[in-house]
Amino acid sequence: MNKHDFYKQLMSEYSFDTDKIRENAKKGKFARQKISPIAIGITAAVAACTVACGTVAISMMESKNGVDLIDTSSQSLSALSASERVQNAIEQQSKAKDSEEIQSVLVTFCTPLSPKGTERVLTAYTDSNIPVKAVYLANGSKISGSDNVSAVFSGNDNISAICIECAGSVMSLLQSDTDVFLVELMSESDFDTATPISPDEIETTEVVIPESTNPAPEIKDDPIILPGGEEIVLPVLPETQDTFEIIYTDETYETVDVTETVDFGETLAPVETSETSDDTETQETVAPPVEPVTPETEELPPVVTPPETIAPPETNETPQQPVEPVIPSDPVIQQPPAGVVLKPDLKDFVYKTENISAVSAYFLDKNIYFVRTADSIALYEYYGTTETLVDSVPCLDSKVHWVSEDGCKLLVSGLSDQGNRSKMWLVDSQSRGIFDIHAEDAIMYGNLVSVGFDSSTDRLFFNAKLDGVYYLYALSLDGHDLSYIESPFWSEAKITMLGSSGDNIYLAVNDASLTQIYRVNILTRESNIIKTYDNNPKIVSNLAFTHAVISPADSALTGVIEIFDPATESFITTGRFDASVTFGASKHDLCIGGNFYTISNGTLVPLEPTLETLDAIDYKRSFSGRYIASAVDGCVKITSGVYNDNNKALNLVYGQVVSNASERYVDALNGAISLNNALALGTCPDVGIHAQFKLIECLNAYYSTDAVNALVALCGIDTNSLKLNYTSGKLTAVSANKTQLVITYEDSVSAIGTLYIKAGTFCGTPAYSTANVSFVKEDGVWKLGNIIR
Amino acid sequence: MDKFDIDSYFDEVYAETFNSVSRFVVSHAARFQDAEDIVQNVYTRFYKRLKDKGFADIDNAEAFVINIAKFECRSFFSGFLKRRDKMMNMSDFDEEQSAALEAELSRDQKKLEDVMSDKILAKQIFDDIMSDDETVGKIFYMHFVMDMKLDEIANKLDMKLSTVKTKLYRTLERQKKKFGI
Repeated sequence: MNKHDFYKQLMSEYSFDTDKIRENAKKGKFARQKISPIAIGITAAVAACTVACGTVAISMMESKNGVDLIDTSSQSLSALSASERVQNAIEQQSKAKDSEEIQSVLVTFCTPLSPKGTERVLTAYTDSNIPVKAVYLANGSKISGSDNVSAVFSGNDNISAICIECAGSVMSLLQSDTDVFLVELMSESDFDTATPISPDEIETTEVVIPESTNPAPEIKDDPIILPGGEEIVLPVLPETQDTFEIIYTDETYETVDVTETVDFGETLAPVETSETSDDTETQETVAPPVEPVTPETEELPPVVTPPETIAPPETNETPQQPVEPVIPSDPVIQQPPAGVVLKPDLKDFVYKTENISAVSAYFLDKNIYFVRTADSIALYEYYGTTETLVDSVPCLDSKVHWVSEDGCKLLVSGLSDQGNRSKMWLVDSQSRGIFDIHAEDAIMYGNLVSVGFDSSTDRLFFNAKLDGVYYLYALSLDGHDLSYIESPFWSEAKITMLGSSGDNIYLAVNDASLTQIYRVNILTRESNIIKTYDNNPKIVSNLAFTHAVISPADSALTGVIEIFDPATESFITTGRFDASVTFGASKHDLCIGGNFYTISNGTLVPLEPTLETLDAIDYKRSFSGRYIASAVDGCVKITSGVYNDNNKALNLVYGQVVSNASERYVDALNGAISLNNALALGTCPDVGIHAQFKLIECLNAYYSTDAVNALVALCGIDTNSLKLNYTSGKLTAVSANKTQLVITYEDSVSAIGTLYIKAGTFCGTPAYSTANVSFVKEDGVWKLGNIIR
Repeated sequence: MDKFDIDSYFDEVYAETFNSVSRFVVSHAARFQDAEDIVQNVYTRFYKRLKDKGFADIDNAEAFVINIAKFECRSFFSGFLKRRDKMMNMSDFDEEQSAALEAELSRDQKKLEDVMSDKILAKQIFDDIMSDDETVGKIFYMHFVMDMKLDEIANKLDMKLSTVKTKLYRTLERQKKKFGI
């Protein structure tokens, strides 16, 4: 035999015990976790309690710095339950492991020890002359005072606990002794009020090790020894119920599924939903991209009050202060010249594709729009005349999980051939393609519950449920390639992702009625609880995965909506109980109940909205300034966009405007607008104006003499010409049905006001451009006194 | 479907796939020391699946089990990042020494058969390999069991070829001194 063959045989024979693996597999045995030092150090009952805390607690114990299981540090021992005291003790020991500060420590034994046995335990880790403050006897009595304590140690009474003074670092050493049940700090007040707890008091009432007829599995690290002498090993994976079960008397082990759906209109996508109690896999109800909705908000925007500072036109009459509009008793309505048909309303641009079974559609950039059908997703290109298919892939039950702030990229999941949600595509309008990122390599036969993508680190996070366990996967998305980083957290309790910052991801773990917010480092797997809720709040992260909204539960009568800011770990209160909160695709800008804010350095700062910010918040309408797409009866309907350059250049007024103008002004205005549009669009013949004189006649009918003169000059209208001849004069066409006229001053021969021209509805809020208008009464007829600018 | 059918099917698949699965796991697990546990979980999960849903829908058992192995490697001890973190810069193993060791690897030594039959000693030698840093066992397994060339191993483990050589040869040299083999 040469050395090569020797090593081949050696490595083949000793690397894997094939017989053992096969037999264990048939017995349903999973391999066990190598126990972390702190877990090894704690003794039986503590371990049992730790196990009782479930997988979450185990994950926490793996952290380097310990975990704030319960914030009980400031509470007296007598105020805590037995289980809380155990958890508290674990935390205290972790914190004090390097401390040399002398503290009062209560050491409780698994079973009462003789004075000799007590001495043996204590002196193994401390000086022989350790100060003893009190002794708790098995008969329930408490002995204090040096003489009395000395008498105990020279007697035969069994000791159930003892209060000593020692360095903090000794706590964990004492805890590692198999005779010690619990080591906990004791304050002065505790000394008078607290009593030792019994191992029987902790919540875990039974640890059943099934398959007792089978040989015990090989344990590669120190097992945890239960009070009864049974050994358990903390599991690394939830399959460890195959090796033992924890049964609770109050059945708190059962995961209570909590609906976490938050209805923020239709703008927030990744919403996690409740799951049925029979653990049926259900999918999040991610709001799919939807067609533009009627821009209405629950809270009406403020009514714009008519300005009061516009100076009235100079007339011979004494100007008056703004007054309530006067309803004229003899309205004089101007009629158009014969043959002229006024068209004050402009037709909206509409293009409709063939029926492609579209479920939803919206533009990702100027010309490329995304379409979801029942069984596919596709990209189309539109340049004003017809659409062209750019890319399409089969995708069952597609759901959009993430949208980039500029709208150009989407992450969309779908069902695999096996019916589980494990497929994912990156839709990239800039690359003009839909790319399979092979998420199923990570998710396997599990079901994707939610997805988060941190664009600042290009890290993608999957929350997937597999065999009843929620796993968090951290991956890196490099271009269109996905690579695995770590699976830093798992829990049998429901996980909801809140957001990420740097190397940390923030999770909510909901077990029964408790929701704990964790910080998990994806590289070290260190996890810490940063906040606990006991009222099952509704939690949903924004699409950009930069913040999460935490709202009171549906059943809550009080509470306040909080915004979680991962960058500062702040829980920002909104002061609102039930307002709608919308981030859209924006990272930091949001709309709360119709008011706009940005999150900066962990605070909510009121925001003067611009169309750029609203564009991201209102992402579902369109990321194209030119067009808006929507699905109508299986077709894609394309209309004019509102986030266009024209609107962005305007100084818009946001809010609902209500006209207060009487009919005489409106008629004059509409007539003038019709002519304005005919000039602006060059459509005079279309409205029956075929000759120059007719045009001038029309202008004189609806515009004042001064205004006509201005228009003649502006549009190069030759009043001596017979032939129709004019230019647009850079007039802007206005659709009368999108205007609101607010009169701020009027008298018997004149009026002034503001024309509000609707630019669109942005984030549910209408916005208007404005133009000053004046009216004068000439020849007994009301006419527009200026050009609409 | 009765248990007998499942057991038979499982045994058959186990025999057919064990080599490929164990090799896959060794290649992908962060630590060679975890490979056995991972393989254990792969087959436990597979057997559980057979019990729950049968095997009628499994067309390619090897692909199915490898797919489970993919998951286990990732969720159990997750290796990609760790592996990258553990890249080491080691000085090149002397070429002359390399050549000498290569020659020695192929030279017949009767003593080795005796060592192999001494289960205690063989286990000690195996444990000695495993006691080194966690990539050494993997390199040994890949090279001697999976018959991978050192440059292939280097590529697979994201290591420099010189690092792989150094780890392999240094361990062989140590074992030569320690166990006289």
